[in-house]
Amino acid sequence: MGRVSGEEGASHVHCRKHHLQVIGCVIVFYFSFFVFFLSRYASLYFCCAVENQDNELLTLEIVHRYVELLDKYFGNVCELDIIFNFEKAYFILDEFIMGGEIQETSKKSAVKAIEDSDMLQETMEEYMNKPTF
Amino acid sequence: MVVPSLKLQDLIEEIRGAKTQAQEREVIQKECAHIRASFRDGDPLHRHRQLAKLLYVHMLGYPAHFGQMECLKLIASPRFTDKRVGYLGAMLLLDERQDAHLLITNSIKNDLSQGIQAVQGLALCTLSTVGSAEMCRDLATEVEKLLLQPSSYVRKKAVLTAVHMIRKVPELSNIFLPPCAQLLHERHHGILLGTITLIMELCERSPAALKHFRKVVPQLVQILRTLVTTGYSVEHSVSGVSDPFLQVQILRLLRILGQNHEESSETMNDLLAQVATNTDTSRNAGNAVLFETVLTIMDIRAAAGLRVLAVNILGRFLLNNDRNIRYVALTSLLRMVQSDHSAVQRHRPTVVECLREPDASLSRRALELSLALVNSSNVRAMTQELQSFLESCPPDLRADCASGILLAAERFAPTKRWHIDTILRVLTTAGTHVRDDAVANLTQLIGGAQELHAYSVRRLYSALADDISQQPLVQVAAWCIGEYGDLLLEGGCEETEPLQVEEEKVLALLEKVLQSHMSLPATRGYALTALMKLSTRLRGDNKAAILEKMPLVERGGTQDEEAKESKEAQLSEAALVATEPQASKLLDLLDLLDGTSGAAQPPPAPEPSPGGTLVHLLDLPCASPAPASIPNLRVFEREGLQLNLSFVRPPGTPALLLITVTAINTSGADVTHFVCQAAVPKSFQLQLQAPSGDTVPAQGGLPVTQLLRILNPNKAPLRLKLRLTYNHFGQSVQEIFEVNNLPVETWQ
Repeated sequence: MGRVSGEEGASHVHCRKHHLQVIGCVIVFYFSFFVFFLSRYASLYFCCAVENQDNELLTLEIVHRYVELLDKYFGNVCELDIIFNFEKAYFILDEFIMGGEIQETSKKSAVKAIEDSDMLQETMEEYMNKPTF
Repeated sequence: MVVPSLKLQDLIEEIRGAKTQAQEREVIQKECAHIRASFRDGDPLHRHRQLAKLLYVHMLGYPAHFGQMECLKLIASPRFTDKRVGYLGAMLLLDERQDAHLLITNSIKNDLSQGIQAVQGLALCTLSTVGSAEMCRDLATEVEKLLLQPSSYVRKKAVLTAVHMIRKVPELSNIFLPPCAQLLHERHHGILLGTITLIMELCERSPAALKHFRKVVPQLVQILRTLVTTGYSVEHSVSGVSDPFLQVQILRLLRILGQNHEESSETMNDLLAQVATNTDTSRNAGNAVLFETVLTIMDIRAAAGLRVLAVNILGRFLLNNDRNIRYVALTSLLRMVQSDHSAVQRHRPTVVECLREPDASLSRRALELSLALVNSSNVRAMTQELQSFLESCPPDLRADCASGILLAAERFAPTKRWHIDTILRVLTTAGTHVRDDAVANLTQLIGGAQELHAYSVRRLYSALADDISQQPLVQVAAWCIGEYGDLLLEGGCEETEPLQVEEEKVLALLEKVLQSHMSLPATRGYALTALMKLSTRLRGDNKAAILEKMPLVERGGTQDEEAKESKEAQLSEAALVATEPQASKLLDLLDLLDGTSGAAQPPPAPEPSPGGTLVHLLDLPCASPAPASIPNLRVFEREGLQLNLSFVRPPGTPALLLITVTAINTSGADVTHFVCQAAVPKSFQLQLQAPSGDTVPAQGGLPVTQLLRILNPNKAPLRLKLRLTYNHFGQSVQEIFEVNNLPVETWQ
């Protein structure tokens, strides 16, 4: 679930500028071998593909958990946060889900891991308090 | 002078500032050119920034392949910032389809064995996301070592990397199976979750592994029990449920282990009951766990009481406000309806309620489930519900609903009358959506229910009078009226309201059907046949006016009656056919008849019609002058095969003569490969229509008919030659003869 990676190509959970389809709340599309979820949080849309045998209701929780992680990291996350820090969205995802499976169920641990990595980045930079890239 | 490159955020702003697609493309192309130049020049300081920008642009759908080698360089750099974005780039740009893919193996290997856990994490993440089979084989032992690392952060990532490796290279199970036992004792939820996922993968790939891991069922039960009974934990609770992600995963593994295994199923029985009853259902997290519990109960060898509990949980789900929960409930109940029929039956009212769902995918599931729940005791009530659903359901569900109702009616109809009523109602509501065999089924049903003939014909007549557009209904009604028209006109029938129906109205209705542009050819056939039947069955005066109005449809319909009558009347008649004595002269059909053969004998006076009592529509005695009816002619007989001609001169076209050739076979053997050809004098125009068949069945079976259209603008005397070829009694036969005694009315 989560990512379809490897030979199918990486398709991560992200906000893609041209990708959005305007939908209401949570809609489920059933394809032949995977299920496609679409979740809307205010102006943010999250889409996710899972396999047939995955628990649909839990997938909703997974998407919700990811949003919570973003929110905890950025503090009141909004669309612009993700756009201007897209690489962070990936890093956060990589602390929650890996190879299509959940790796960490504690919000605290996940966010702490990212912050630790950020510190590693910052200390290696010569200039503090400046955007890394 | 090197222009300082754009910062990532500045680029993003610039792209967002573009007002059109073209503008955006321009900005991006310009920046990509800079980036390419920077890569070429090899600027290590800003490489990570350039790649970050490239990845953003890639996300928008623009090509970024030229950044692949840069990923490699960044991964190999000692700086964490470089590695972080380099590995991200590898995951996005360097999947195993790319040639450069394998080159990252060495960097990953190095990073796995160095000491900084964040770096190890990056390497493991990349490996589990895009690692190819080859890479997995190379690095399996490295990952195995990391399973024993002191850092739980690294251990949890290593476990999931092992999951990926097994998916890619199943043989690696040998390496990763042994550590599982130890890992199950972990307290860290992330590691535990990964371990359970790993065990699931191992079991799914190897029956031996499955057997091996059944040993841990008690341990899993204990872990889950602890989770469920633990109070609130800040770290892991979601809406009052302790770590639903871990609970669900344990339940999934229990399902795999308990399938087809009594002992394991029994071990987990109590726990499943506990989870099912104690989980808080007010929020989605609890429902997710409950749902997984239900799925597990359904798949293992659960005790009966537990299965009922599962069905009841699903029943409760059906009442939930959340559409998603109702959806999964309907889907799951559909899976259980065969195995746990009576348990699911208890929720029938709720299921039926779901038919009214505005959401199409929900109402579709509800329909499927409702149809599966119909049985002999609830068939009346259910059919009522389904009929009202049929009236208002979306078009794509109509066909399924209609055929579902008909099927259910067939299986469980309490009485024949109810059955007929039900089918009638379906045909009225959704006639265009029923399957083709519905008509045949209904006619057979009615035909077989003698006591209901009067009732059926009256109901169908009323339905037809209301609406002649629904083809299946019209077809059945026409058939019924044809068969039982006498009952229709008789008057009272206790089961319906008294309905005074007059002959005229019936015929007028059938004619309306015949002429309607909505009627399919098959429908017209039914109507025509009905009229034929009625013409023999109705008594009283038949107004010629009605009969005149009917257009002459060239069909086999007229021939049925004709054949029947001629069969009865022919037996004692002398054969009228005389083979031409000068047959040899007339062998060449085309040579036969030309304008100068006035030397041919004048046609004899018409003889009394052999099928004298033939009821031909245009022959009916009537008060007002009708077009003169021409007597029929028997033209051929041999060993039981008889050929008759009947003639019609349509009033509107004086030059036109329609001849219907009818071949009937009273012998004991079928006549096969029957072909009839005709020739006329050159001044005539002849058109042969396709025959109704080429086999004339024995014992007076369905005759073969063929229509000849002859145009005689000069009103010349008609001469007609026929050539027959066929097989009979194992011999092939050819007969050529001229038709004698053609009545003068055929051409005058």
